Amino acid sequence: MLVIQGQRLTISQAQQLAPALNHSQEIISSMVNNGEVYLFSSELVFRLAVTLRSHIIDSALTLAKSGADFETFYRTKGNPNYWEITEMGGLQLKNNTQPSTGLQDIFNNGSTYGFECATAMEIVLLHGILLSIGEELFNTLYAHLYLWDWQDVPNLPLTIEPVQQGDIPGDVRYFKNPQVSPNHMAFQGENVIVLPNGRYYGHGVGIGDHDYFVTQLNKARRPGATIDAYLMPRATRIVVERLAYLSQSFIQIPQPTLPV
Amino acid sequence: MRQRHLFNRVFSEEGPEALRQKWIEEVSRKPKEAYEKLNDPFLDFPSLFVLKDDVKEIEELSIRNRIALLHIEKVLNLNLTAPPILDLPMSDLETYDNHVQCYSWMIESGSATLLNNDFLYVIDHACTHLYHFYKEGHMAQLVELLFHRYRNSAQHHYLLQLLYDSPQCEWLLYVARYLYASPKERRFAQRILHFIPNVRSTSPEVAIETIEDWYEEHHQYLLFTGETNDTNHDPVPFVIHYGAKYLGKAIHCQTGQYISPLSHQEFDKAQSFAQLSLDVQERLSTTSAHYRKENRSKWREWIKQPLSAHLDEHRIYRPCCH
Repeated sequence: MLVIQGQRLTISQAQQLAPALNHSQEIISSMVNNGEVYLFSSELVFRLAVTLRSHIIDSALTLAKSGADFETFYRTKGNPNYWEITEMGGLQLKNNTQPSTGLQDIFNNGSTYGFECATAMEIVLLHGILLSIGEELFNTLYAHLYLWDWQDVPNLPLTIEPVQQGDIPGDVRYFKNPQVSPNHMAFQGENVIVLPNGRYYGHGVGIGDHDYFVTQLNKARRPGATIDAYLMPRATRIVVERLAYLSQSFIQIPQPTLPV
Repeated sequence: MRQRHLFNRVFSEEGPEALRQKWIEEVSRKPKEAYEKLNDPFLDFPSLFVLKDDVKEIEELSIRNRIALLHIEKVLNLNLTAPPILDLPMSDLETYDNHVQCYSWMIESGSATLLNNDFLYVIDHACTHLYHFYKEGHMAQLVELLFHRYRNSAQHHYLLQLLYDSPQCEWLLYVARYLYASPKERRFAQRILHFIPNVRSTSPEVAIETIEDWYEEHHQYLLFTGETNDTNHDPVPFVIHYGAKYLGKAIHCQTGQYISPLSHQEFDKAQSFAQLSLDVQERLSTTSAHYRKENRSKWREWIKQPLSAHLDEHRIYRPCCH
C-alpha cells in the first residue's frame, strides 16, 4: 500500500507523480500491491524514493557487468590512481580525487577492483545516490569516501525493516548459508540488491532468482547439511526523508512525465 | 617458557627476517637441534608462520606443526578443497583432538601478533574452525582478540562476524566487560550491544548492571536471528521470544521450540498470544515476568487465567482471545 500525505494512491495515480525511469513501474507496482504500508511525507520524497530505487537497480546491473571481482577484506584491491587500501581492507578515497570520479571508476574499470559483497552493496547504494542527486551535491556529501563493511559511511542514512509481504526493487537483502563448509567460507552469506521480476544481484554470484541464490550457496555447504540457505527476513533501505534533508535540493530529480 | 624459546625471542626482538636468518644459521650448523627447537611445544605460532616456506618440506615436523602448515597452505593458497595430507596412523578422535589443540595453540600464541594481512587471515580462519565448527573455543578469548584488533585498527570484520554468529548468548557479557575500557573500546562495545535497551545512554557501571539485568531476565527466552555485521549495519543477533517469556518457558535459541513440553492450555494460549501485536506481547510478557519474580505461587495462579483476562487487566480489547 502506498500512502502520500495520508492519501492512499493507486498505481496510475502514483505513476503520474513519479519520474518515468527504467524501473519506476515495477517499483510503484511493488509498493502499491504490497500488504505493508509505504508512507511518504510529500510527493517530493516519494519521487526521490522512486528515483533512488530505479538508479540503485541500474547501478547493480552495471556493477554486475563491470568485471569487478569478489575478494575478502584481506585481499581488497582497487585502482591506485583513486583509492588506497586500508589495513581493514577498506577502500579509502585519495585526497586529490573527487568522490564521484572514484566511485564511477569502479564501474568503468571494474577489473582493477576486488571487494567483499557488503562493500559492493555500499558501492551500489552510493552510485544510486550519485545518479539521483548529481555530482556536485554528491561530492559535497561524500567528501572523504571510505568503503568497507556496513559501518562508517557518513551521510548514508540506512534503516533495517522487516519484510513480511515481499520486498521492493532497490532493497538490500541477505541470503544466509548457516551450514557452510569451512572450505568455502566466502559463501556463508550473500548480500543482494532486489531487482524487478523476482531477481537479485549479488556481487560474485551474479544475477538470478531466489532459487538460483539458494542453489549456489547450497553447493558450498558441509557434507550432510540439512538446512538450506535462506533469505533473511529484514531489508536494508535508505532513509529517503533523511537523505532528502541532507541533500536539501531536488534540482536534478527528474520531474514526473504528465500524460499528454 | 615461551619467551625463552630462541625463535620466539628472535622474532619478537629482531623481527621476521632476523628469525629466518637465525633458522638458516641453526639448521646448517646443527640440523637435529634446529628441528627439536621447531617442534618444541613452547614455539609460538608466529615463529612457525614466519618460517613456513623454509620448513614445509621437513619430514620430522611434529603433528601440531604439520596441521598448522597445512592450514596456512589451505587458507593462503585457497587450496581449500585439497584433502588433508597428514598421512599419520591415528583414530578419528585423535585427529579431532590434534586439530583442536593446534587451532587453540595458533590462536593463543598468535593472537597478539599483527604481522600482516596473510597472518591475520590464517588466525581468523583458525578461529572459525575452533569456534564455529569444532565449537571448542572459549568466548572470552575470542572477544579479547576482537577488541585487540579493534584497538589496533587491524582487520576485525570476520572476528566480529564469528561472534555474532555464535548462538550461545553469554558472549554478550564478555563484550559488556569492555564498557569499562577506553572510550574508543567502550563505543565499540556499545555498538555491538546496541539492541539491549539503555546500553548507550548511561555510565559504564549502570550500563553493565542494565545488561546483566536484561541477560538474567531474558537469556532463556532469546531467539538467535543469524544477523551479523555482514548482514546489515546494525545487526540484532538475538530477539526476545515474548511468548516464552510470558509463559515462563525456556526455548531452544536456534529453533525457537519450547524445551519442556507445553500443556494443552499452554499450547492454546501460546497460539493466541502469537496473534497479538508485538507491543502487546511485550507488555504482557513484562507483566508476567514481573509477577513471576515477585511471587512465584501467585504468578502460577495468574498465568492459569485466560489470556483475555490478562488483556483486560491491561485494558487491551481483542475479540479473538480466550
